[in-house]
Amino acid sequence: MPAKIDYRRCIGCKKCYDLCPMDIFTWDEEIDMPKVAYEEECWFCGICWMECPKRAIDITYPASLW
Amino acid sequence: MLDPMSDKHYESRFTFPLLKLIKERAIQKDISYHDATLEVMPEYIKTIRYGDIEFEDALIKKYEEETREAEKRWQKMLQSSGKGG
Amino acid sequence: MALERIADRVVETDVLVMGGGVGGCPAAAKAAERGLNVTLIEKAKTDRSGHSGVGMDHVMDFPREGVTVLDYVKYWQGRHHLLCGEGRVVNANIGYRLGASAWWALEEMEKLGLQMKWDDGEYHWVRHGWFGAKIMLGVHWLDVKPTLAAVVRKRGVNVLERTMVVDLLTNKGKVVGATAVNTRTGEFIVIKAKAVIIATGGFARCYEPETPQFYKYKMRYHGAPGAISGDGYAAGYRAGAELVNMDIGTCWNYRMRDDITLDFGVIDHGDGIRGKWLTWKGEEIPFPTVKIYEEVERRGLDPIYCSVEHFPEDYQKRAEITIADERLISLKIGEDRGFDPRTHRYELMINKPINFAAIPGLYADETFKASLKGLYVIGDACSGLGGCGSAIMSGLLTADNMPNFVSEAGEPVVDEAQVESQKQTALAPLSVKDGTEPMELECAIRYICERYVGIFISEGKLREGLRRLGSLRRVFLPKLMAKNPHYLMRCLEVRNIMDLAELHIQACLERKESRGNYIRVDYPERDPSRDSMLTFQRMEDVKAVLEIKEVPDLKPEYAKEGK
Repeated sequence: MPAKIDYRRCIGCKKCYDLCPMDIFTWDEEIDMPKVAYEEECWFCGICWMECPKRAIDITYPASLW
Repeated sequence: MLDPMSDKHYESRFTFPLLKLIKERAIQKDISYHDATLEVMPEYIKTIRYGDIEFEDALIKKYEEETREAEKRWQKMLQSSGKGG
Repeated sequence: MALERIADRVVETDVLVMGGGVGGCPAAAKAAERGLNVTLIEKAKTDRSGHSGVGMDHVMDFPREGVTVLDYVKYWQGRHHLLCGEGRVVNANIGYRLGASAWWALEEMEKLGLQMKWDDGEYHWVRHGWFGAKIMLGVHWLDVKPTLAAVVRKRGVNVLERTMVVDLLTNKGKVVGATAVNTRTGEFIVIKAKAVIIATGGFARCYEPETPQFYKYKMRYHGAPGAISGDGYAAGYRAGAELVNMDIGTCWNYRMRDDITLDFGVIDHGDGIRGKWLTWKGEEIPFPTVKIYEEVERRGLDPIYCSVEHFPEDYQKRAEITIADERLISLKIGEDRGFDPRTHRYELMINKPINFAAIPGLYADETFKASLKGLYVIGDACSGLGGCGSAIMSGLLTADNMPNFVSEAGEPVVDEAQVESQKQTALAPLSVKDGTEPMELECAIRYICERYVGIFISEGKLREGLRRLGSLRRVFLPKLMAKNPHYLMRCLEVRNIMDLAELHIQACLERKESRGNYIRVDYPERDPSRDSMLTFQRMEDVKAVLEIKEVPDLKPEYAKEGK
C-alpha cells in the first residue's frame, strides 16, 4: 500500500510532510501528526519510508502495481 | 537457478544482503533507514572487489562474445521459415 | 503599484530558476555565488525533489581514457541513431559544450559540497555502456538533493517551495518573469525577473505508466518521477519559445514490467557487464528494439526477460549498492516480492516513446539560451541534454553566464493585464463546483495518446486522436475543479499535459516517415529529406506554428578544438 503511518511510532517530526515530492501528506494540527490525504498520488518513491527517524512509515505494493 | 516459469519465482523468501544489514542497523540504533544506509554502505563497499581490471576485462570479453553469438543465432533464425524459434 | 493589488505577493529578482531539481539547484547556487539576486521556485521541496530526489549512483561523462570530446559528441548523436535513425536529432554543439566543460564542472561540483570521491579518497570510474571505457564517475549520492538544497539556502537564494509556476510573463518578445501559485496556501505570486532558467525536467504523463494501473495509483512511472508534467515545456511554449522533437519522444532502452529496481534496471550499470535479454525459454536475444520485440511476439517467444543471473557475486553486490544509491526502497520491494536477481529474471515490455526528455524539449543553443529573449533552459527540459550530469553541468554553465546577460537585460516591465489573465486561468478551478477532477481528465488524455498515437502510428488514428483531444479541451478544461490548492496544482499540471499531448500528436502528423523507434505504418520508409530536419513548434501570438528545419551541426571551431 502507499505510505502508511504507524501512529504508535510517529513522533511528529514533520519530515514526511516536508519532503514528500507529491505532497500527499497533510498536517493534522489536532493530533500534531501527519495524515495521508492524497494516497492515490503516492508514487512509491520511498522518501518518507527512508527518512522517517522512527521507521514509522511502511510502503508495500498493492495488487494493481504488482 | 529457479525456473522463471515456476510459482516459486515470486514467492520464495529472500532479502538482499545489503537490506538485511541496513534493517539490522536501523533497529539496533533506532534510526531511519536512510541513516542506517549511510552507516552500512561504506562497510559493505569494503567487501566488494573493485578495481580488478583484469578480472573485469576478462568477464566483459566473455559476455561480449556470448552476445555476438546470440546476435548471429538471431539473424539465422530470421532467415529461417519463421516458425517458432 | 497595481501588481500588488492583483497578486498576493510580488517578488523582484535578477534570475528566476524554475524547478529545484538536480539542474535548477546548482544553477541557482552558482548564480548566487556570482553575486546575483536569485529566486528558485519548486513545486515540492528542493531537498528531495525531481528525478534525483531519491539519489543517484553515477555522473557522466568525462573525456578520459582515450575518449575525446568529439567522441562524446558522436556518441550523443549515435545513441540517438539507435532510437531515432540517421542524421542529427539534437543540436550537436550542446554535446560538445558538455564534453568540453566536464572537468571544470567536476571542480564546481566539489565546491558545491557534493562528494565526488569515495571514502578511500579516490575517484571511482565506471565503464560506459557505449564506449566501454571508464568515463562515468561512480558516486554515492543518496543525498545529492539535500546537499544541493543546503548550499542553495546557504548562498542566500530566495527559495519558493510548494510553489508552481502558472505561466511565464513576456513583454515585447522578451521573458520578464512568471506568475505562480503556492500549492498549499493558494497564494498567487508574481515574480519579476531579468532572466528565467527553466529546469523542470522532462515529461511523461500523457501516456500510461509501465505497470498496469487501472485502479487507483496513477503516478508510478518507472522512468520519470510522478511530479514531472512538462511544466517548463508548456510554459516555455505558451510564452513563444520553440519546442522540438515532440514527435519522436524518447524510447529509453526498454521497459520493466515490475517496479522492483531502478528506473531502467540495474542492468545498464554493470560497469561494462550488461544484463542478458532472454526469451521465456532462456535463449539469449539481441537488444530488444521495437522491431525485435515485434518479431519475438510473432514467434511466440515472449515474454522476454532481462537477466543478471550471470553477474558474479561482486557485481550482484555492486548492483545492490547502485539501488541503495538511487532508489533504496527497491530493495524492500524486491524483498516483498521474493525477487532475487541471482535467480530471477526481470520481465520486459515492448518499448514505447512515453518519456519526453533528452531528445524532445525546449530548443536551446549551446549557451542554453532558448529561442525567446531572457529565457534559458537546462537539464532534461532542454533538447540535447539528458541525465543528472548534464543537468548539473548545464545549470552551472548557464548560471556562470548570467551576470553578463543580467547586466544588459534592463528592468523587467510586466504587463498587468497579462498577470490578471494568468491569475484568472490559474485560480478558476477553485470556483468550479460539480466539475471534473484533474486526474479524470488526465486519464482521458493518456488514453488518447495510448490509443491514437502509441507505437504503431498512422494518420487516421492521429486525426481521430486530435479531434477527441480538442473536444476534451473544449468540454472539460473549463470544468476542471480544484477543492483546494493541492488540487489546483494538479489542474495546472493537466493543463500542461493537454497542451503537450496536442503538440505531440500534431508533430507526429507532420512526420510522414519511419525512423528508429518512430514507426509510421502508413509511411514505413525513412525519408532522407528529414535527416537532421526536426519538428519545431511555437506560439506566435495566439497562433500555433509548426516548422520543419535543420538542427545545427557541430561548429567548425568546435570540431577543431575538440580533438
